[in-house]
Formats: sequence, C-alpha cells, structure tokens
Amino acid sequence: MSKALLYDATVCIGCKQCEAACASQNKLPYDDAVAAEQTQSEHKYTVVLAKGDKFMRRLCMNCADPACASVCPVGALRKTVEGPVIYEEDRCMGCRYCMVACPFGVPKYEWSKLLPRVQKCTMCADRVKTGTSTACAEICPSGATKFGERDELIAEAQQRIRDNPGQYVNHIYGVSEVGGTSVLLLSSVPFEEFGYRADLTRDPLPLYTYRVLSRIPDFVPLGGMMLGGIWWITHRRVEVAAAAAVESPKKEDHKK
Amino acid sequence: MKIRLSFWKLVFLALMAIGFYSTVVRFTQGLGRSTNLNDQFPWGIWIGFDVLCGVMLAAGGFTLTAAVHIFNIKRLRPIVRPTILTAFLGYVLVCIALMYDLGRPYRIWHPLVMRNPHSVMFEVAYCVMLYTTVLGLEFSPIVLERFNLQKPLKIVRGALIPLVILGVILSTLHQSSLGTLYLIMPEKLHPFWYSPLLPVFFSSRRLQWALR
Repeated sequence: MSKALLYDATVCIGCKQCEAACASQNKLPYDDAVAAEQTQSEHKYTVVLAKGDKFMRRLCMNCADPACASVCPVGALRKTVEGPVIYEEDRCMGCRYCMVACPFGVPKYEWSKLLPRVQKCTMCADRVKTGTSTACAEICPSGATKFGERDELIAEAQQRIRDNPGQYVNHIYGVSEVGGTSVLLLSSVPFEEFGYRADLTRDPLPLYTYRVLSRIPDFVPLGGMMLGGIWWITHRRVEVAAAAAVESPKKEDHKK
Repeated sequence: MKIRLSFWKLVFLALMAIGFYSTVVRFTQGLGRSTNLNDQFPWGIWIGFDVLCGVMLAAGGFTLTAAVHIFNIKRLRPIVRPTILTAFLGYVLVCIALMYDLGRPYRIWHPLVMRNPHSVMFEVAYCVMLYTTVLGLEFSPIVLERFNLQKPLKIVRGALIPLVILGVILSTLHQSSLGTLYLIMPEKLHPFWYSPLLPVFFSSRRLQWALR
C-alpha cells in the first residue's frame, strides 16, 4: 500500500522543527536566516508559511501520477510504489521540463552551480522504504504532520472534518487534485491563501500528453504510406507522359 | 593582404565578441549568473524564439523537398538546395543552443539510452537528432558532388525519396511535439492559448510560414 503524509494546519504551532529535521535529513544548511525564508528553494525542501496565527506547510505533493516524472525525457524522476517521487541525479541532463510542468511549482534548480541538480522533497524515500516515518512527521511535536497509509489518513481526515463542524474548510486537499497526491492537507482557511491552486483538474496531468503521444505509432506508417503513394502517382504520371511522348510521334507517322 | 572592415563586418565582429563573452560566463559562472533564470522562470524567452520560431523557419526545408520530390512541382526545384541548407543550419544552431541551455550539456546523449516514451521532451530529442541527420544526408550531395565522390553520391540519391518522406514525418512530429510540450500545463498557460489542438496549430503554422 502507498504511504502518505497528512498535514493538519489547525494543529500546527509553527515551530518549524519539520524544516530543521528536513534540512538535516537531506544534509542541507539550516540556520536562522534559512528559517526566515518563506519560499521553497534548492536548499529548503519544505517551508512552514505563517499568516497571523494560521500556518500552512509547503512541500512536494508526491503526486500519484506525477507530471514531473511523466515529462522527464531520461526518467530521472520516478514514482515509487511506497509513495515518494524520487530523483536520480545521475540521469538528469538539466532540461528543466519538470519545473515547467509541475502544477505546484515544486522542483527547484541549483542555478548558481556549474553542475546543477534539480532539488525537491522526496518524502524521505530511503526511510519510507524501510517502513520508517518521514523526518518531518517524526519530529512534529503537535502531530500536525502525520505519516501513515494513504487510505487510513484520508479516512482520518474525513473523520476530523465530521467531528469538528465549522473548524475546517470542507475539503481534503490532495485527495483528488491532479489525480491524487501522497500529501494530504487540512485547513481552516481556503488553501488558495497559501498559494495552493484551487483550479487544478482532477485528471492525472500525464493523460493530456498521452492522448497525443499514443497516436504517433499510427501517424508514422500512415504518413509514410500517404506520401509514398503521392510520390508513386506523380512519378508514374511523369513516366506515362514520357512514354506517351515517345509513342505519339510514331502514331503521327502512321497517319501520314 | 589588407582586411577591409565594413560596417556589417564590425557589427558581426561585435556580436561574436558578445557571444564569446557569454560563452565564457555561461561555462564558468553557471546558468543562474549568465541568464538570470530562476525557479519562477526556468525556461528563457529564447526557448520561444530559437526553438519554437527558429525551428519553424527551418520548415522550408522539408516543405520544399516534399513539394519538388514528392509532389513533383518542377518550378520550385531551383530553390530546394538553399532551403535545405537553411534548414540544416537552423537545426545545427538549435543543437548548439541546447548545449548552452541544458544544465548538464555533456549528458545530451542520455535520451538515447535512458528512454521515457511518455515524455514529450523525449520525442522532441529524438526528432531533433533524427531530423538533423536526415537534413545532413539531404544536404550531403552538394558536398559529395564538389569532391566528386560518385559511390556515396549514388547511395544518397537512391535513398532520396525515403529520406524526404522520413524528413516530412519527423519534421511534422517535431513541430507538433513542440506544441504538445505545453499540453501538460493547462493551469499555467493562459486559457486563450491553451487548446488540446496545440500540436496541430504548431505544425500548421510552420506550413503557412514555409509557403510564404
């Protein structure tokens, strides 16, 4: 079964320990200056946003059918059966199509490096593989970020909304967005306020390109046959005209 | 011999100097410093200019070879060679530009062995590689004639019609896939531009351009 993270913004206290744990897990620098940054970047995979007393986490959503993995020409990004979307830097050639395609704007690039990599949260894939919780969920003191089976977390989120009428926006972000994600969000304020798009389709995004790409195997032989046919006709026409030109003077001779 | 500097020679020399300087900056300072790209704008405006428009200009190559060799329109024959040259140069330039644009240009061969057929970029990569090869072969008779190499010339001439057909298909696929690139981001493209028919628009516009 696939694992997931449930983040409940109403329980979050904004302590940013998940940011620190994430940085040490991924061997990234973390100090007060980094803590103050309010955007995801190549050295900050997750960020706790604050607006007044409301908090919201941002991290890679680890989509069920990720656009980034679908668009990567070399298959450097991949969805694992456990849930995380991982990145193999040895394959990446740096076309940055994943950054353009991601509906959440998650993949970041090491712009200042000579041999840059794409950087993003990979849901602690190594830990999840061995059945351990992600670093951010493990350290969370309030239980705002919870790690578990995706189905069970969805059921729990629905239960929380049912049990606390009026406390939540009646929507679990990530259940159906772009075909479902492995990160699920609960909030008391609309998700758009923290930059989560409300206009995302429920279809997995790779479907849109697959509709076109799946036609190519038909297009190649059909196009080849059509052009070959046209060439045959025009070529034959020239041949016939040449033959007629040879024959017609003879016929004229005959008449005389 | 005295070299005379005309106005345009100076302009091109200045351009070459800027190009040389940019190359040095690109390969010593990295992409961020040289291009000012960032996480919000991972693709520069030149993608729209050189890859999308430049490749479209090269479309004259396949349109005219098809018109002359497949549709047998004889009066266009005199301009076939210049258009093949234009197209070939266009594609070579795109390949060179890619070496600057890729984060790790020395891995440009990766799509050859690490295939992801679900990726439009993969299709683009293959179309560019194969069509550049086809254009090179279509152009090769000019070089072979110059050095009077009859044997290879005969082979290329014999393969001309399949090459032309392959060129038309590859070029059409390439043009349309440049449109397909944007299909996966309905939420990012302005609704005015987004359409499931993008690949068709991209390939028809270059036909219009080529026929001018």
